[in-house]
Amino acid sequence: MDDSYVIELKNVKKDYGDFVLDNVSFCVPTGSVCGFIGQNGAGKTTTIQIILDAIKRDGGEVYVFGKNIDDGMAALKEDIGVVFDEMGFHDFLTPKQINTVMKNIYQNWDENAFFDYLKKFSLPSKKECGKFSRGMRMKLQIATAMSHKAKLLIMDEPTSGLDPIVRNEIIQIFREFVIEEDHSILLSSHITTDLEKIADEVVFIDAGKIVLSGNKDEIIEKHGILRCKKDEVKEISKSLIVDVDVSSMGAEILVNDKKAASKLYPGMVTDEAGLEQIMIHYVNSSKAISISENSGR
Amino acid sequence: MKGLIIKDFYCMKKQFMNYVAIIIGLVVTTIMFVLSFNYGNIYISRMDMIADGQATLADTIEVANRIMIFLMMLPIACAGDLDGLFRADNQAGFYKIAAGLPVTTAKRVASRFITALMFVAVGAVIDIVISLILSMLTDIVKFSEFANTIISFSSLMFIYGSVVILLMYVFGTKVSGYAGIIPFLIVVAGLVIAGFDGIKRLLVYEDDTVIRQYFNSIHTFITSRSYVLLIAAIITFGIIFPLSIFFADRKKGVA
Repeated sequence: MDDSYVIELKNVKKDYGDFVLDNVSFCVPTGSVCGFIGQNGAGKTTTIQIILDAIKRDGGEVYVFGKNIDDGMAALKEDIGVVFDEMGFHDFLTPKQINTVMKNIYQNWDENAFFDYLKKFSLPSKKECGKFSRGMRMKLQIATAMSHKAKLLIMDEPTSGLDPIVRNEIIQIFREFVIEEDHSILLSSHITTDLEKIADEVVFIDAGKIVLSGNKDEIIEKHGILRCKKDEVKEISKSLIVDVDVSSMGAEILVNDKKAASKLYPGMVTDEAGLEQIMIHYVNSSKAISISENSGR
Repeated sequence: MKGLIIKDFYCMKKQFMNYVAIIIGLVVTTIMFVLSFNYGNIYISRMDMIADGQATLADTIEVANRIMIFLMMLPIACAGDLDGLFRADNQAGFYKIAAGLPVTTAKRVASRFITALMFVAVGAVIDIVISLILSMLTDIVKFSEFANTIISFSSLMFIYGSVVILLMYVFGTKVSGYAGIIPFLIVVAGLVIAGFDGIKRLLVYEDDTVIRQYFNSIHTFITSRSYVLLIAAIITFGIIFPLSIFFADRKKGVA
């Protein structure tokens, strides 16, 4: 397998009956920060659980550090730090006790690093973590995930529900983590502003399907918002349109080739699109497609 | 794996004070019973019963012996709440953390069995200490009887714990209440089947000596044939451990 990817998914499937993860394929290049975007319930957590071999998949292949997870994932987890949206530690455990537990689990557990992180995050080592605020709990998880010399951080919504200051602090921690060349992050979030600050790559999932993936800057560079009057929409080439949002003020069209749109329609305004706008339009577009497919049946 | 066992013990630390209270209560009650049996009210009552011809000296010693033997069950039975451990993990969402740990499902299951064994061992050690104290205070129970009893009860509790672990992996923590009751029902059913003849005699022929015979046979079994239960515990573990791994693996280690 290709060692240039720290994570590689090929046609991964998972069928829950009411939700299907459908042929999910994407790669996370080594040394990059990959933002895994999607609205709640899009399949981010399921995908992460499959990568961690925490749930059985119904098909496809998963490679982590170039190795097939079916050949033994436990050993690979020595190099992976995991952070979830909820803490997961028992409320009565103190960070000091968590240190005792973890140093007897991870071969590379660095006690000093853990207590340094506690200090850095102003976390008391002898207080029960059930009494911590949400931000403190998240920082405790991050401290735990980063104290065993992990090369890959897999995080599921680590910044959701946090105030902007704490979120910024956490983003800063991730930035410091990826200074090392071989360190990578897969960061799932629906808060696109966080990802715009830190991500190199973006994978966008909606309703269990990957709708967009690639270099974040290239995706932002490529997409644009074309603004025009309602009656001008039909003049726009369909191959350029991702989604149209019509309001009383006019039409806002997400186009998949900003440069081409500017050339073809010089009279119309083409603005830059942020990740959030791109995400919203792609979700609307897939909804519209599924509605038209259903009504066509 | 060691870390998971330490985590389980931290979970049980919450119940530590209750456990200490049970043990202190047990020790105090047993010592008071022994003193009363030899010098106090129980001594007076049993002497009266002997004088009235209601019982012989041997009968009264036999009853005291039974009481003390069955009291030995308490420290082992109360040492650990295995289904409580599963529930605590589930409530905290620890299975998510566990999914990210470099520990195989087999090792996760093994850690639960080691925890169960260690809970039983804690109870057994406390029982040994109590037995030593009581053996010095009285001749009602011999230390060899105590030793056999401790092995018997420890084996029974380990069988019970193993069944609880298996049921947790098969049915999940949603049925944790049943996971505690089902093994108990199995033991009761076993006792009923084993004593079916006696129960029939009691109910059909109203032969009440059968109850005494029944308890005598259980007592003899516990105090002199502990090796049978020990072998049963080893065999049960041999069957239940791989089965638990099988079911846990299907659920990727999540109960």
